[in-house]
Amino acid sequence: MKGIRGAIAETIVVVVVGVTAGFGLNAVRGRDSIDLTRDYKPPIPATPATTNEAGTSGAPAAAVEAGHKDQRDQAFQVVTLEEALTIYEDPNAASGLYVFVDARNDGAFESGHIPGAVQCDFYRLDDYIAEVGSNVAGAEKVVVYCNGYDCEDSLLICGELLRNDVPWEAIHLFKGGWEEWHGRDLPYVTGRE
Amino acid sequence: MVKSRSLIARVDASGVPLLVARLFVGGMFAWLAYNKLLDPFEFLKQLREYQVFPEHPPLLINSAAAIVPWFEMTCAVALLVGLGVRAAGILITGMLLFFGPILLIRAWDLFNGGTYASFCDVRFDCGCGTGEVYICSKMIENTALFLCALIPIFSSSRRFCLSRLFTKRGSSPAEVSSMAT
Repeated sequence: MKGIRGAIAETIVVVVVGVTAGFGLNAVRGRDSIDLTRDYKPPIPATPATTNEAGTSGAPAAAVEAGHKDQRDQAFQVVTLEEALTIYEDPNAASGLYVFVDARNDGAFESGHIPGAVQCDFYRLDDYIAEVGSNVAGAEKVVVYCNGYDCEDSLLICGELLRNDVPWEAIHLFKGGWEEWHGRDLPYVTGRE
Repeated sequence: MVKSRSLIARVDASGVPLLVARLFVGGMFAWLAYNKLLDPFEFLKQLREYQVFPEHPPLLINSAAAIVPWFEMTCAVALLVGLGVRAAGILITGMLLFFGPILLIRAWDLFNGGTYASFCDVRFDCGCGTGEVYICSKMIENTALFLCALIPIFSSSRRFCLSRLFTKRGSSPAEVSSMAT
């Protein structure tokens, strides 16, 4: 009985230390801190693709909010690899009218990204949103990508751009993302270029 | 039968099984926790995939993502230095019992939704801190960790543990009896 009591007391001490360390060290990690109250998977705002004819968000919009990623993807215009390449090669890309946005984290971005792409890590949004906002202001096409078909970060950034008044017509989701681009040996740069 | 039990008790009193278990489980958990801490948001995304924690309010899943790696690290350090090893063993077996079945459920979902030849061919990033793994090798690893984590719970030896410095007699009853024989 004494042994069990001792084990319980010891376990409580380790739990308290672990939880305190968790909250405490998370709070002092700077840009790697998880904001405990932030919704890291916010609903995608209703878009022309998900809003019914009456202009109100009906059943499809509800699916965007709670549904599977494939349903959420339908909220935006999707571009294939060939279309993304056409946009990349268009002279408008060099003049800043067409912009690529890389939604991956620092490590992934620095190890390789589409030339000219601006980084916007959804999870560290405060660090990027101002710069991205100035880059995409007035852009006719904004192509957002992340790792590939399995990642949701590009979709979350599309939603964020929409919330930041980037017109839906300008936003394009490149679902194949970096894996598809890199898999075809297309041009890329490393570092923070 | 009596002889075999006393052999187990003597081996246990040597402190070697406990030391090996502490180094293996503590080392593994420290490494897994470190990998999760390198990118806490990646762990948050993986945690979300399991759909164990509700998305709303976000406080719950965010707190879990913030705490679990540090919690694992605390248990790992406790085992490695030899302070609160029984508690660390209890908590680690608890975590393995909690995450093991949900890992299997997710692998089963992937198996049913994919084109895998067999269940053991299912390979995915389980968010465990090891990157992509085959489910069967992960389950073997977890079973080994679970069995080794039982040793600190049931061992009565505290040899090679820092906690010995804080005990009055410096030796557990098992060790005293072992020395007497």
